Amino acid sequence: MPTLRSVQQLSGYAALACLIAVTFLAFQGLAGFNNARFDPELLRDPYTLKILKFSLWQASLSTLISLLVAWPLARILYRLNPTGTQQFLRLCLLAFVTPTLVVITSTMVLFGPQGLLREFLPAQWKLFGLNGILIAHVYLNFPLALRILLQSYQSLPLGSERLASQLKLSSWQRFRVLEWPQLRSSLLAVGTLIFILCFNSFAVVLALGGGPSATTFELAIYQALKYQFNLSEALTLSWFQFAIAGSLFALTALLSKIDWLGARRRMQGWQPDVHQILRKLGLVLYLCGWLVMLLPLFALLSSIEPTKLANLDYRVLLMSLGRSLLIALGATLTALLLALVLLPPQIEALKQHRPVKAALINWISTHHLVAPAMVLSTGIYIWLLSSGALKQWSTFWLVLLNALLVLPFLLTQLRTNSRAYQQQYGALIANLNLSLLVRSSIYLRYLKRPLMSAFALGLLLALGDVSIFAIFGSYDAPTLPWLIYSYAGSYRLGEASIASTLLLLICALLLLVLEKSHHQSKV
Amino acid sequence: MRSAVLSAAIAVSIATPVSAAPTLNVYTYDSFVSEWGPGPGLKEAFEKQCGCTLNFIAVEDGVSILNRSRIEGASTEADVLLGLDLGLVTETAELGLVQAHKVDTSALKAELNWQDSQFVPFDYGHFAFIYDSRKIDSPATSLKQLIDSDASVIYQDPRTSTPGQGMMLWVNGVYADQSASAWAKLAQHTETVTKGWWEAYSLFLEGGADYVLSYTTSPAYHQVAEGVDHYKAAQFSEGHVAQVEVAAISAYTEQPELANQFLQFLISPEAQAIIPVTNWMLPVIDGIELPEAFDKLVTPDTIDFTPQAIAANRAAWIKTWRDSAAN
Repeated sequence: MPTLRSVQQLSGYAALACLIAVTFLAFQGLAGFNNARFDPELLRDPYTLKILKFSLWQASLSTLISLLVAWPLARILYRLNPTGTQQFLRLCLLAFVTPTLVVITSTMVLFGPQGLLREFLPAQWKLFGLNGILIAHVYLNFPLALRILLQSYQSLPLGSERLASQLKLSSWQRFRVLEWPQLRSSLLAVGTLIFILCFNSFAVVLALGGGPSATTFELAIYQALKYQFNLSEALTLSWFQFAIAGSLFALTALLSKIDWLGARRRMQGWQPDVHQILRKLGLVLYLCGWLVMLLPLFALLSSIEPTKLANLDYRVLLMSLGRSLLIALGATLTALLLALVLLPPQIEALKQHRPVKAALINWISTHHLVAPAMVLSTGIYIWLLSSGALKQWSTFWLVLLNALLVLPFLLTQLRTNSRAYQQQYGALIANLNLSLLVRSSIYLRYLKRPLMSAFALGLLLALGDVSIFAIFGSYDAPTLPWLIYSYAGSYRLGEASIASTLLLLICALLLLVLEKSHHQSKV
Repeated sequence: MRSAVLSAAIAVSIATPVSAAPTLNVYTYDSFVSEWGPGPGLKEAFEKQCGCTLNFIAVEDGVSILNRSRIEGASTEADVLLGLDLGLVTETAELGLVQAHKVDTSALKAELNWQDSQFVPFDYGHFAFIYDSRKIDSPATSLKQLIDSDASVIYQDPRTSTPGQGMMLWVNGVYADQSASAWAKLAQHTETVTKGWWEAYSLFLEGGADYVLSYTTSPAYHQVAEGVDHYKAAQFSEGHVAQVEVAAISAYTEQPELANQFLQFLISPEAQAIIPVTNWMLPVIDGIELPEAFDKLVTPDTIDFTPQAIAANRAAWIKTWRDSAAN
């Protein structure tokens, strides 16, 4: 009979081999075949440089604006702790996990040609292009920055707060001596993360870019592949994108430091004195923050007309929803399985005091984060084309690639508890000589809550996917985000809003599950 | 013009009913199969005589039909490609994606002078910029005037859309080696470049821009279907690029007979009577009665391009557009 350890080791290494195989196949595709080759000429193409410039420029602006919006709000929440702070933070979390297409719909409802806010905008206002991209990116990302900066504020030592107020430090002095040293690293971390997310942005630029003047690398790869069927260009651009995004990622490797579900800690008992005028100003800004967060939701609901609801093609809507759920479910279950199999060897290595081995396993398990979804998908897509198996296998890869991209996040959710289990019960259970089945069921029961939150998180992330579907999906059989994209594309905002609201509701529900189980698993 | 429809479902054609009757899969563009497009009428009429199921599969626009077929190669589901135009026929034929038809084309209008052995035309028209005469008193009278102006413009991506490709021909026909600077100028006042005609036209009708690239026949739709006449086509002094929309049989079909039957049907009086008032383009055979609104349309000069010239330059022209329109 195989021992538990050998089964664990074997399945763990098998999973690692699978992960490496996927990367290998993607690189095999990117290495080219027949006439599809790496084309160094593209480096000198002015178009490539323009894409690079635009990708960097919009990512920098999106990051800057997100931080500028988030910072004052985080400070207000920390110093004034106004009524509704917890609700506001939860709304922020929802905004951060909202699928991009939902945000795109509300951006169009608010700022489009017939937009609710159109009359407040300058006559020459143009949504498509940089404006639209920035609005959507800031809305998607400043809530994340806000939560992380607030966490950072909340970890200011109580003692120094008291001291600062006893010393009657001015606002500027407080900021320079007390807050800045604490915030600096958070700002850098969250800023880099937002920059990477925006640099790799696909759906927002696809839907709101409005032509070749606003193109990111992710979009250019997709266009080379699907608009022109220029494989050489697609794989060359993929290498560029991989090099840039990969080095950005390697440079920071900050993701693990950010607990974006956090910031739920109660405020400390001590409240700093704030000048009356400043307090009022802060509260006004806080209200503005609420307005900004609620406006897109309001926009969605306001553009759902009864006639549209009555005439909607529910078959298409429900089938898209079904497809989305199936793909997300398949991807999440695959990722969960992989995570459960990958964790034991890693923990085992740690137990044996082999940190290098543990780190290596961890790196292999999460290394698909380094390559943006589009690069990985393009590589696999070209490989499938070259082997003539595209049609039969595209659904499989649609699910598997989604699984690989959510895997790193699930591992983060599960790692701590899985390790704690090993430490607490590992030796005991080994001595009890239980069957594999019994052990597994004990293990799974112990991990129930983190598994639950990992499950919800996986669904949440996979439900929003646009990039992988854009490559492997069949557009006649859209997922819910892709359906929203085609509605919004032909400016049928009523239908887009209905579909967006449905998707948002599902995400909110998953978030509730996630928050609940995340919270309980920490207790 | 393709039917200007705002409320129909995009994916009309997902499910294929299970039955013993053969199914003919036709790749086309989205507005063709929309509720108000020619799709439903053609389907009903053809299914009555073929004992088959006609299944439309829609993509965003004409060039996407070629892109998709090229990617799918031999594994394609398509029996017929419908909605390519003259600018794409050479490339499509060279890629070996289509096969010779057996359609009797003798009824086609003499002015079309149709000789092609693989492609069958089903409608034609001129591209034109449409404007709302309630908003614009003195529309541009030439392409140069439009490009030099600051009026907001919506057009389509030449990499995915046949009108977009028509725009590309137009600019190259008028500006020749000055095209790059023309694109750059146009980019200054381009509202957006969409993937397909339908997206562009929908956005325009929402008040999204002053001009949208469509067809000289577009105003007829508004007059016939909506009874309004404020949407007008601007006539340009340099002439307009013409479009002949064509269909062809996939090289990989397993039912060439049925596909031939469909193409023959497509240029029959029955089908040709449906197309002008649903796709809002001109019929390819004589003797089709058209609504009065068609008499009032502008009749511009034609800027001619041979399919060979387009095929030879398409990649280079797209590159020029892409580089210059990206500022």
